[in-house]
Amino acid sequence: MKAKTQKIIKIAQKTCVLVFTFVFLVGLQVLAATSNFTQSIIDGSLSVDIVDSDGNSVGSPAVAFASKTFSFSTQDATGSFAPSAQRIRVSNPTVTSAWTVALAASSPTASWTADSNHYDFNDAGGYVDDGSTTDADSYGGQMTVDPSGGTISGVNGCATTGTSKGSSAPFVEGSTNSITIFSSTSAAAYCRFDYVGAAANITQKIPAAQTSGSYSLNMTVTAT
Amino acid sequence: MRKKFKTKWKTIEETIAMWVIFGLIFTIQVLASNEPVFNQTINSAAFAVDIVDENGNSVEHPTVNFGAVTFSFSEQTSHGQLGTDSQRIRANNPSDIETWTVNLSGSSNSATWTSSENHYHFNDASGGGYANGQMTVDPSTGAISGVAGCLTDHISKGNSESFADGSVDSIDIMTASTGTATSCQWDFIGAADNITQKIPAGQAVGSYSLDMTVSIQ
Repeated sequence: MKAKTQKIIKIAQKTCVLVFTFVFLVGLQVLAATSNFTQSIIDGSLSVDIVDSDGNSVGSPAVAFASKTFSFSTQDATGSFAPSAQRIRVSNPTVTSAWTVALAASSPTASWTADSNHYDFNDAGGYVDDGSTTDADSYGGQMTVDPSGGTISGVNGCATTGTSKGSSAPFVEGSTNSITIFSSTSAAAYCRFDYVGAAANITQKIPAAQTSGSYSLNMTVTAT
Repeated sequence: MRKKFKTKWKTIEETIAMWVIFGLIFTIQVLASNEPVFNQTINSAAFAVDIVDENGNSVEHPTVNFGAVTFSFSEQTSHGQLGTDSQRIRANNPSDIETWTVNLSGSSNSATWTSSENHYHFNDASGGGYANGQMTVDPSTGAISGVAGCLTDHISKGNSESFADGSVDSIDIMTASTGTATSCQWDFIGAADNITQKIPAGQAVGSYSLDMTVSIQ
């Protein structure tokens, strides 16, 4: 009788173990849900900046022309546009390879100004005002930019194939309102390029007897 | 002959005993009566987690859309929201076990954000996470609510963590500790921008996707 009871207990134990194992396995089951995470990275916009040799934006970029002494004759002043510490960086975060970086004045009618005194940067007459032929103002003076002596380099290994520098050209109101510094027809997309100009790559013709003063003129570099 | 009969009888006895015990565990004996007893056994089911809408219906294709970013030559971050009102994470605990954890992980540690042949990581800590990409999840700003009055006592939200291959392969969203109500459901709704993805500089444009898995155990 005792043996029988023991047998029954044993069988009961086995049954219980089976039941608990089943419940335990069910309890441990892990169910999961899958979620699809999405992220779009889209083309940015072409832009240009003036940066230092480390690629940091220059807060107040400037081109200082050599100081001149008052003269009863015409004279030339030269400046260095885009030296290494104020290089022109074009950023192309787009698939389009063609772009142009150019220099222009804030307006074709702008002029070098020191208080009430002016001279021009884009008069077709050069040192003297050409009257009203091409230019509405009465100031002489003309600026010539020669980007051809500069160098173009790709940032982070971008190849410069397909880029080119602009040619020397004087500003002429109405006909040459901007001068190409460098451009691309087929350069690598999603790349950045720096332009560093050669010394004395800008020449300004100053009219004879131009009043002494500290003249300034805002010019704009654009990428299109 | 008598011995043989005894052995057979023993076997029969054992079999009957097994059935009786089995019957005792899973059913209630119905004694002869003109009042039939209706029996219904409801067994504990398994833990489950799902992504449901505000009505509790399963969302067929749950997604987390990160804000579109523009191509950049610099590293950048983008943000997404895990557990929105219409895609809330629902933990189902139909068992009598009090402790469970809901967490988020990649479909595999080697998974990457992918757009055609372009990739970046969700779990690479190098370079502050920007060198190859790293995702940070912050469930702490979310809210947990009990479904149908289930109490949220003893349930806590996970802390902000970043995936790191091999060391942080899953991030806890919410955890139930001892004392949590059983046979209950809870919803987690995350706060806006509770996921941040670091994107490497110069990452190619494209529509990237990455499957992530929400699990409960």
